[in-house]
Parts: sequence; C-alpha cells; structure tokens
Amino acid sequence: MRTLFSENILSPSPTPAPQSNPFELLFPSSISTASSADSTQSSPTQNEWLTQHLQNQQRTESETANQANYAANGQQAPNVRRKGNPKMLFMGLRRSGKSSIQKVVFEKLSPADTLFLEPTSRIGTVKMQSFITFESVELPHQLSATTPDFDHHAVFSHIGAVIWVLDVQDEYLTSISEMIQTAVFLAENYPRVNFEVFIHKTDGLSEEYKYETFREVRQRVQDELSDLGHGDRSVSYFQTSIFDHSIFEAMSKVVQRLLPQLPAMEALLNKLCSTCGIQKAYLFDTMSKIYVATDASPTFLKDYEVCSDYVDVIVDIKQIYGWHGQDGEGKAVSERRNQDDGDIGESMVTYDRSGDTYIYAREINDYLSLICVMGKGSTTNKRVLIDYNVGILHDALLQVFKV
Amino acid sequence: MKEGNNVTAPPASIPKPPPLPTPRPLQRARDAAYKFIGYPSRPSSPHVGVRREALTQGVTGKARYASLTATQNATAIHKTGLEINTIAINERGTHALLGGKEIFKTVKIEDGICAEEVNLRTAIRSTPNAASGKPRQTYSIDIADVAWAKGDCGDYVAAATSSGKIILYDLGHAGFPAVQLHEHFRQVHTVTFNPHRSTLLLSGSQDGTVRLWDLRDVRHEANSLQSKRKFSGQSDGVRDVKWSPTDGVDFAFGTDSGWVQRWDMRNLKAAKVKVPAHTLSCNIIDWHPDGKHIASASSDQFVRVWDFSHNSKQRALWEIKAPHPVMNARWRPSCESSMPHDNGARQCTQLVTAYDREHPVIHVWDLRRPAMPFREMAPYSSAPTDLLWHSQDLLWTVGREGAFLQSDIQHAPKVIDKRNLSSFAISPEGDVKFVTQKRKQRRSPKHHHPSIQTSNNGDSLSVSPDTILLSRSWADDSLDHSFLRVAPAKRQSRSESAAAMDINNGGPSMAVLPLGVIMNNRVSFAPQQSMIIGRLPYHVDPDVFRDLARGYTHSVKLTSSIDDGLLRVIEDAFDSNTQLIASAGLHNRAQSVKIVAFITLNHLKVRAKAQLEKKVETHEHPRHATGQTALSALAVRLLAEHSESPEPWPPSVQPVSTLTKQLAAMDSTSNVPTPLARPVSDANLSAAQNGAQLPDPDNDEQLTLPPSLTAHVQQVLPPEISFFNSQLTANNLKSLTGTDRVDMVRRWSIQPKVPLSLDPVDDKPKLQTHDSNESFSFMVGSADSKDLSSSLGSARHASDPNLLVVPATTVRAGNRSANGNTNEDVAPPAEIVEIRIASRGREHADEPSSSPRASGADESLYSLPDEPAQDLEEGKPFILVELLTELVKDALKAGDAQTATMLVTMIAPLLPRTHPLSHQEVEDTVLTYTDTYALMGFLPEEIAGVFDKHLQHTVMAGLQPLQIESIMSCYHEQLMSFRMFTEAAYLRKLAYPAYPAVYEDYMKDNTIHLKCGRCGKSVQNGMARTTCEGCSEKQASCPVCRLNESPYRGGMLMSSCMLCGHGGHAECLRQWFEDAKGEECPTGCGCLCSG
Repeated sequence: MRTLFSENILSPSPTPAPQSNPFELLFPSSISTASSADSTQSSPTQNEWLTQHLQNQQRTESETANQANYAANGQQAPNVRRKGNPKMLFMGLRRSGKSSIQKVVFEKLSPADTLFLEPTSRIGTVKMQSFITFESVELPHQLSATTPDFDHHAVFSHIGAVIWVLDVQDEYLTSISEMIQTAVFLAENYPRVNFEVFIHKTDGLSEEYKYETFREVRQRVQDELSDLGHGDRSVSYFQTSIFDHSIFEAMSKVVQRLLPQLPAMEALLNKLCSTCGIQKAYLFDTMSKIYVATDASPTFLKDYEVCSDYVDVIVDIKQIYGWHGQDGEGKAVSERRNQDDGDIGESMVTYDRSGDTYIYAREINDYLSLICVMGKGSTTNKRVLIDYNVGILHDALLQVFKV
Repeated sequence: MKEGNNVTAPPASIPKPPPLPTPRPLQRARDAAYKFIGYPSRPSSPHVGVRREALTQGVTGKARYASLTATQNATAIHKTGLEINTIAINERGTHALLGGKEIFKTVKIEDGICAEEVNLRTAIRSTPNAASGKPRQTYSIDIADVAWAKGDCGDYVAAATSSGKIILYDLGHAGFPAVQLHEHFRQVHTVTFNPHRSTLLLSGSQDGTVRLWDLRDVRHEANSLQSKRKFSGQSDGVRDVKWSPTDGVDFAFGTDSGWVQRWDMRNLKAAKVKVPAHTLSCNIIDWHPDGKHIASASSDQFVRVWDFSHNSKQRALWEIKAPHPVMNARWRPSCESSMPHDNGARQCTQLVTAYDREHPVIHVWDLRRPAMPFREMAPYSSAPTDLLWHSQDLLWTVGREGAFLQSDIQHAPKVIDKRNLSSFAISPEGDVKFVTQKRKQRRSPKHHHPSIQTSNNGDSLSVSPDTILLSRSWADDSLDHSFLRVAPAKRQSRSESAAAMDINNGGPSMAVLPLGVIMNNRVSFAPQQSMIIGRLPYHVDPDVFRDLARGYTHSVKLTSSIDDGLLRVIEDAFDSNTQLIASAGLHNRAQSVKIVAFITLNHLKVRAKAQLEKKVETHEHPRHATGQTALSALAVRLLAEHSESPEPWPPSVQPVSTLTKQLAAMDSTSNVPTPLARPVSDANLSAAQNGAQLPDPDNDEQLTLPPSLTAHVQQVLPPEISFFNSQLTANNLKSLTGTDRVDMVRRWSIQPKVPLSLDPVDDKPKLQTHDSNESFSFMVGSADSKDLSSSLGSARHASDPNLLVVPATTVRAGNRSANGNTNEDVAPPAEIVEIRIASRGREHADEPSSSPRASGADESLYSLPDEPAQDLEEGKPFILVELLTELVKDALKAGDAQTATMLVTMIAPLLPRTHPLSHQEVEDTVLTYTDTYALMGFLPEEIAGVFDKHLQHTVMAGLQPLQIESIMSCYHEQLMSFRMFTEAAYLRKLAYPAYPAVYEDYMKDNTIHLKCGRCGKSVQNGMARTTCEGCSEKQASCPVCRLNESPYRGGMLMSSCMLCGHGGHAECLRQWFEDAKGEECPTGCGCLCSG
C-alpha cells in the first residue's frame, strides 16, 4: 500500500527540536536533491554570483538592521526561545476579563460563574498540566509594564506571549492607548515576545457592530504602531468570548505560535488530510480543548466547534472511566483493536444524516487526541487506509515530541 | 509610470542577470502598455475557432479574446478523474495547467476540444534518476497552486507544494524539476509570476512570509536559488498573493487573519497600505484591472472592494454579501462600456465567486447591483477548487471531481430570470407598496445584445447590421433591462469623464475605466421598475382609525330597567359616536349610525312603555326567559356528555359522544337536544341509574316535534314556557338560599334544565293552564343578567330559610319525576302550581329588595333586560336586529371592523330577545363555545355562567356570537397593529370572557415588572433583590419606618404618590397621613400627597 509517508521518513533524524531547521527531517529528499544538484552544477560564474549575492544580502540586512534583527529572531525562534512550556501573560484594564479567561480555559470554570470572580490584585500564575504544560500569568491592571520601578525582567523574560485583553463592551479607547504603550515597550525591550490582542466579550454584539469595532481597533492600533515606527511588528487580533468556542480557538492560535513543533505537525496533518480525504484535522490537547495543530486548509469555526464538543464528550467519559486507556475507552461508538503497541483509543461519530461526513477521533497518547472531520468519499470501507496512515502519524508525532 | 520606469531599471539590490533576454522593442513602451489592456478594435471576426491572442500584439495585458459566434456555446470539458486542486493558464490562453495531488499536466483547449498535452507527473515518475544521476526519491507532491510564467519565460511553470517547496519545471524538459525553491517552512499557498517581468515570482506561505524569487538565476543557481526578498511581519498564513496589473513592483496579499496589504517590492520594511478587511481569513484577493481597487473575499461571507491607491483609513467601498463563505473570487475581464461618452472604453464591474466545499454554486456578481447574483451555475457536485477567466465569456474551473471545465458564461442562467419580478408588502398601518418590473422577452442570444444596443442608443454603438453570423458582442451583458438597464440617464460630469479619458492617453479608449467612475454613476443603471405606493383598499386612514378608536364609546352602563336616565346615557353615547364619525368626515357612516341610534332609542322607549304598563298591570315576578336557560343547560349537558362516561346512555339518545363528532354530524337528527334536562346534581349523583331509567326511545319518538327551546320559542307560544321558567327560577332561587355555596352554584346551573323537560309541549290542556299563569312570569331584573354573587345576594333576602328548603326538595322531586315520567303522566303541573304558590309568598317578601338587587346587578349587566315574549317590533318597518346585521355586513364589506365593533358592542346589549337564531345554529354555536371554554379550562359552572350572562342574550337577540367574536378579534388585531394598547385592552375587557379569540393570546404572558425609578429599566428580578440591574441602584426603603416590613402590620405592601413618585409601606403611609395628620410627603419633598 502506498501511504503518505515513506517508511524511512523518520530514520535520518528522528528528533526535530534540536535541529536548526525542524522541517527538514520530514522531507529529507529535498536536502539530498538540492545538495546533489549543487555538486554537479557548479561553475565559476556561479560562485561569483554567490559572493555578489552574499554581499547584497549583507547590505540589505544592514539597511534594515532593525527589522532584520527581529526577523532573525523570529527565524531562530524555535531553537532559541522558550525552552520550557508555553507561557502566556494576560494584561488589560481592570474588569476586562483576564481572570475569567484563565479560569475558563485552564481551570474549567463555568463561564457563567466568572461573574462572581473578585478583581485580581496580585500577579497570579495558573498552570495546566496536560500534554503540554501551559502556564499563564495574570498581571493586574495597576501594574503597568512601563512603570520604571517595575521588575520587567522577572515578568517578561520568560514569557512567550503577552495577551492584551480588551473589553469591547466597555470604553476601549483608554485600553487601546495603554495597549500601544505596552506593545511599544515590548517591541523595544523584549522583541521576541509575541503580542496578541483579545477583543473580548464579543458575545451579545450584533454582527455588524462586531465587525465595525474589530476593524476599528485593528486599524487604530496598526496606524498608531506604524506612526511609532513599529508598524512591522506583528500583532494578532482575536475576537473572543468565554461563552462560546472563540476563546479556545484564540488560545489555540496563541499557543501554536509558541510551539516549535508546529510546522512539523502541520505538515504531517496536511499529508494525512490529502491522503485520506479528511476535511479538517485537529490535534487536540485533550484536557484543555486547545488544539496544538491543524492542517493548512481554511479553518471554519463550525468544524472547530464540532470537534471541540466531541473532545468534551471524550473528556467526560474519561472522567468516568479513567484517563489511562488500560481499562478501555468507554466511548460512544468505540472500536478497540489490538495492535503491536497495545491498545488504541479511537472512536467515531456521525453527525450528518447522510452519514457521509463523520468525526474520527484517535488518541495519540493520554493527553493528545487527533480529531478529524472526514469528508465525502472517505467512507468506512477506506478504514484500512485511514488506520494505517493514522498509525504512522501517531508514531511520527510521538517521535516529534520525544525530546 | 514612475513605477514603470523603476521596473526597467531595477533596484540595485537585484543583481544584474547575465543571461537577460534582449528586451523586445515593445517593452520600451511599457509605460503605456501597462495602462491599457485590450485591443485597438473589437474582434468582429466571424471565423469560428480562431483565437486572437493578445500576445500577437505584444501587449502584456491579460486581455484575451475567444472569438465566438453569438449563438455558440463554447462549453468544453476534460475529465481526468483525479482531484484537481488548482489551474493556471498560459499567456496565450491556449493551454491550461492542472495541478493536484496526483495530477500535474497541461491541457490544450481548442475549439471546445480538450486534449492532454504534457503530463508532467508521468514524465517525472518515468524519470528514474534525478538530474544529478542519482536515483530520484519517490515521494508524492501535493500541489497547492500552480502558475505559468509569461512572456519569454513561457515554458516555465511553478508548483507550490504543501511541504513548503516550490518546484519549477521547464515544460521542454518535463522530467526534471528545473529548480526547487525551498525556504518556506510551512505550506505554500500561492505562487504567481509578475505579469510584466515574468522572471519575478512571488510565493505566499502559511509561515506568514511572502518571498520574491528571480528566475533569471535559475539556469545557474538551480540548486541553491534563494529568495531575493522576504516580506514578513504577518502572524498568520498568507492565503493569496497577486501582482498589481498596472504597477510592476507592487503586489498585494491577504492573510488568514483577514488583513489585506499592498506592498512595494523594493520596500521590505512596511506595507504601503494595510487594511483589516475581514474578520475571518481572507481567502483570495484580486486586483481590479484599473490597478487601484482590490476585491478581497473571505470566509466571513463577504466580498469587499477596497481602494488601495492611497493609504488612509478606509472602509470598503463596495461589498457583496455572499450566501456562503467565499473561497474564490475573480474579476471578470473587462467589457466595453455601453455609456456613449466613455467612447467604448473598457469597464469591469463583475466578478465571479465560488464557495466552500458544501456549496457547489458559482455566482457572477455585478457590483452595480450587489444584492443578487447576476448569473449562476453549478457545474460540479461540490465547489470548484479553482477558477479563472479565460476571456470575457469563458470561465475555466477545476473541481474535486477531476473535471476541467470551460463554461460559456453567456449560457449560464441569469438569477433574475428565476426570480419573481414583482413584489409587494403591506405595512401594519395599511400602506401597501408594490414593485414590478417588466421581464425581458426571452430571445435567443444572437438577437440579444444587438437588439438592445441598437434600440436604445444606436448613436453610440456601432454594431454591424448583419445579425446572423455576428460575432459575440463584447459589451456589457448585464445591461439587459431586467438585471440592469441601459440608459445613460445621468450625465456624467465632464471633469469625471475627462479624467477617465486622461488615463488612456496611450490609445483610443482602450483603457479600463476606474471602478469608481462606473460605480459612482450607478444610479443610471437601475433597472426600470414601476412602483405603486398607496393605501390598501378597504383600509381606513390610520389617523381616522386612531381618532375613532380613541373616541368611540363602546358600551354604556346598563340598568335593569329602562328609564329616562338610561335612555339619555344611550343617546349621549350614540351622539358622541356620531359626532366623532362626522368629524372624521365619514358622513355616510355618521348618518347610518344616527339612524340606527334613532331606531334603537325608539325601540327602547317602546319597550320602556310596555314595561311600565306591565308593571302597572300585574305585579310581575322576575322570571327567566326560555332561551337563556336553554343555552347554559345545553352547554352543561354537552359538557357532561363530553366528560362523563356515556355508557349508561342508550345509543339512540347519545349517538355522538364527542364534540368533534357532533360538529361533524351537524344535521343528524340525533343531534337534536333531548328534552331531558338532567340536573347536574342528579347526573353527578346517579348518572348511571338515572340515565338508564330514562325512556329514551320514547323521547325520540315523541320529540319529533320541535324539541329545542329556541324553536319552541318561535313556534309555540312563548308565555307557557316562560311561565314554567319563572316558576322554577323562583323556586330555585329560594332553594339556593338553603344550601351551601357550592350547592347553590350547582343549583343555579341546574335551573335552566327545567324548561327542557317540558314534555307538556304537546299537551294542549296543560298549555292552557300555564297560559292562565302567564301573569306571573314577567320580571325585569332577570336573574340571568346578574352574576352569581348578586343573585345569591338577592336570594339571601328571602326571609325564611327553613321554609325554602321544602320547596327546593319538592322541586327536585318534581324535576326528577318529570324527567322520569316524561311522557307517562301529566303530574308535574300540579306540583309546579304548588310551588308557585309558595314562591308567591316569597315574592312579596322580596319586593322591597328588588331595587337594591337591580342596583347591585348594575355593574355586571351585560345586556338590557327585556321581555322576550313580547315582540314590540312587530309591524315596524325595521327590525332592529336585521338592521344591525345589515349594517355590520355593510361595514365589513368595507373592511371596517371598527365601526362594526362599535355598532355591535353598543346595540347588542339593547336588543330585544325576540329574534333568536335558528335552533340548529344555536346548537352549533353552543357546541363550539362549550368546547372552547372547556379547552380553556373553565369549570362547568363557569361555562354555564358565561352562557347565561353573555351569550344568552346575543343568541336570543338573533346575533351570531361567532361572527361578533371574529369582528372583535379583527378590530383588536388592528388596534394592536396600530399600537393602541389601551384601546385594545379595553376591547379585551369587553370581550372577556365570552369571546376568547379576542383576549386569548394576551392572557398568557402578561408579566408585571417593577420599573427602576432612576434608570427607567424594568427590574427583572422583581422583589427578590432590591437592586436594579440596570444602574445597580438600591431600592429606597420606606421613608416612615425604614424597615423591610411595615411595623404597622400591612406587610410589605407598598404604595406611592402619583405626584411626587415617593412611596412607602401602605400601612406606614396610612399612619402618616391619617393618624399623624401629616400633609406633606414623608420624604419631605414638599409634595402635598394627601391633598
């Protein structure tokens, strides 16, 4: 059977993280062909050009020293930064919903109960032990990043991403100006820290208004940042609400940017999708409902919602029957098979009346699940193919994370 | 043009390429060439199948023409069976390059025939060795996007793969990849060649970077080709990159987070224009041929068009709200403008969209009418994965089904042809708006465009006169009179059109008009539609309606007897109504109301006189009319039949046990109510035995005569019946006093049954005797017009309870015997006479209490008491009921429920009960209402009460309650739609409880909320919490006690002053104002609340 990955795909270099270029391990062919071609066609003119090119490159870099600096940082980021776990720092005005987000995402508080949260007055850290250990810190509003007596280094040096929470139902102009100050401060002092903006509490706003404010905030921040000379700095914006899936999706994207393994996982999923006719594949951190990777096809919130709900079901059942697969996965429609490496937790559920599309879930390990929305044509009689490929993906992923 | 110069002299950072091909002469004139896309002349060649390629002219524009005859359908298909992800076209428009996971080949399309030409994939696979001679590693490439270089690099194609590699192939050496570009470390979504300098390649990737490659280096640096430029700074993947069609150094891209940015490739630092275009991922962008505008399409179901020529805060200039998430969008190649002053310049206002995979439809939109698609087609069963325009009419699509399709858009159906071209809407106030448009005659396409153009503006368009083999017109095909209109209605301002002309200084009118020039003149393209605005026929003027609704008097306070006061009140009410109508200018209606008022009053006077005479003549005793007892009795009986087990009843008597069945069997004789009126108490006690004893078969035989009371009333002399009624009523009244409340209620509902047991109907002698007793049975304040409490109250006046118990039992005994021996003997009369005597004694004792009873009954009088036996209208030209019916009918014909309601509510209570409805009608009505009330949860006693008080009179007066109900509910709906809630509430009050249709819907969810005094919002949590959610203001405590509960008992009941709004515990305030003699408000606001 021809599958998406050659069998020796992992053999040359099974551990991606320490490598300078993690994606190379997946496509060793490219390196080999490139190098071989290099050896055959070399000519003096070419060498000449090479030096010229190098000089040029240097010039460009010196020209855009500032930016190249960041760029270089960004490029090497997977190796240099964030040795440990993804760490996020929440900032924002008071009552903007920082604690609520933390509680809902990491402590599984019911969104309705966040109404009764007391204002946070101290720097608090929340840790979630799952497949990936998430660490999130909340900076109370009175501690501004720009105040001189504030120990920036202690706070920002270990942080992967700063999330600015902006309450869209409140007067957000003050929040925007503070946000810009913080962004500028970070850009100047901690350029490797990602800056993310959650335009929060969008529930209950009309579509029209939502779009308008979203556009307004983005345009305004962008304009001000470029006026201050940081227009090239990438700021991502998310519309979030703790009452639906948008907060999880936004957190997922934030976390993904902190994961050095993302390109590898994404490439694996891409391959899987195109081979098995999968519409959309997610790798879920089972506990937190955060997806650590997905394939590159356009994402629709609907797909994510369905998968996320399904993960909820799996978690619920796991809470009953235990997290460790030995006692069997008591899932809705569960099939258990024995393979060489032991039990496999997998299940599928149809949500479409025609039965054409269904969701396929497979546990990579106790805390990581692969959830796929299967498209038309990948019916159950192709299960052999799917199982085989997913098995390979399974092994590859374990390798990726084996550090 | 500055940019154009810069292209010819590239920036210093780009190395001078050694093997640069000699520039063709025309490239020197690139400045001009950038600016126009198109042809000096329209293709008028009639030769089928001959393509006129743009390249032969040396113009580096995108314009291609497929010369098609007007009728030809150039649809062509090429099936591969493999999923195709993407498509590219070569510059000449002869070949398509298809890319997918398992497909990578070129297809030649000519004359509607598609033929595979180079299969790159097999070539690659069949080459066992790489160019280096080493064995090629087998791996599949998943192609996400392909591009075909232009100009002198026309042999090169680029394929973007999901692994992050871009592979270049030379079609001449298909087996070997010319070069692999590998710097993106995530999937490459898009690759594109610069239309002006085809060696420049842009690639956009999921890793958030756009890279620029220069292919001049390929031949030498094939293995280590590095990108020239990297444009980064995006946090999200780049979904689409496109070079500007006019500026050789500019390009734009759209990202996953919805940004659209325009960059200059010489400036690495920041974008020229950066617009947050969408909330979701921006899946595709496309430059308008004018080089200024960009259309961006997104998963958020919008296609937005932006002006990217300047960097300032901006909103979308135009947007299309698509029905599904848009995955693909392309401007349709420009067509000739049909505006005469554009001089045949080209315009482009249409674009094609394709959606996500569940929605296979493809739409062509025209920005001039963005609300609906212009054309629609669905070539595949799932959405096409990629599409592009070959030429103005030919659209190339590829899909997951593996088919490459060239579709002729002229043959795609127009959406508007499927739509209704007329529409109307009615506002609640009665305005109606109707819009219609003439549908164009369906013609064969060959006559289509020429005919329009020649007919409309033959001056501007030079269409060759031959029509048969005419080549297809390249004019604007959306101007077809139904979708958009050809009409140079609004003159463009000189300056504007002059500006438009200025652009195409290079050639005569061949440039593409800037989108704004076309769009801002959009008004003139609106299709010709006719519209009617006006009032609904039969609909009253809203102002008049409001005025009348506010002013109408609907009811007067009735008294038990007709006296001068009452007459005056009625007259005043009618007068005010008449004046009101007249003041509204409805003199016709005023006149008829006046007449009916006059007749009513006359009739009432006559009645008053008759009543007086009677009173003088005989000391009447209040008595019941036959009908009223009949209705409630009928209702109760029906209910009993409905609810209780019908088993003991012989089938002949009770053939139909459910109301529905009865309703279904309207005219069956078995439906006739048996004269057996079982007292409810009896039925309850011994339904089985009693029922079993009934000699029903006899009944059936006997009662072939008019068995129903109503019929009876009409045919037989009423006095006898009324005699019986009065007798029994009196007795019952007495007996009521002796029993407890529940019993009384029951008795009350029993009483009507007695007349039903009138077997003596066919007994002539008996009738005689009754006749003699007729004098008894007149009464003015009929008990039926009172509610239970008042009748009970009046009954309490009876002097001796002990005395009354006896008659009650005898009556019951008599009833039972009457029931039991319906046809056997004539015993009952004797007993009845006896009872009557007893009652007479009571009557005298009762005399002084008659007036209080009457006054007590005032409030609950729903109809004017009268004497049904005496038809005072005999011989008169107008019978009041008939007059009313006709008037109502007339008003309804005009749709005027308002007047009808007014007439009915005013006059119906005053009607004499002399013209009852037909028996069958009564029965059906009672059935309906009993059913309804029962469904609404009324108790049997209550139902009987409702019949007694409300429907009885109406039915006996000859009005159909169902009709009244529908009139009133219609009026009520009108009131609600006019938002006249007070009037509607008043109407509901009038209708309650008899006409459920009026009030039913408004009984359910009436909730009372407290209103916060500070912010004015309602306090949702009621009294449970004393703070307002809106402003979190605490509820003020009682100013007297400041406690939660009043110390003066009273509990938590609050009251407040209407003047100052301050309030407190009712009991506290009472203490304050009464006992403490306080005059001002206890809060000290100075309000004299008590005064």
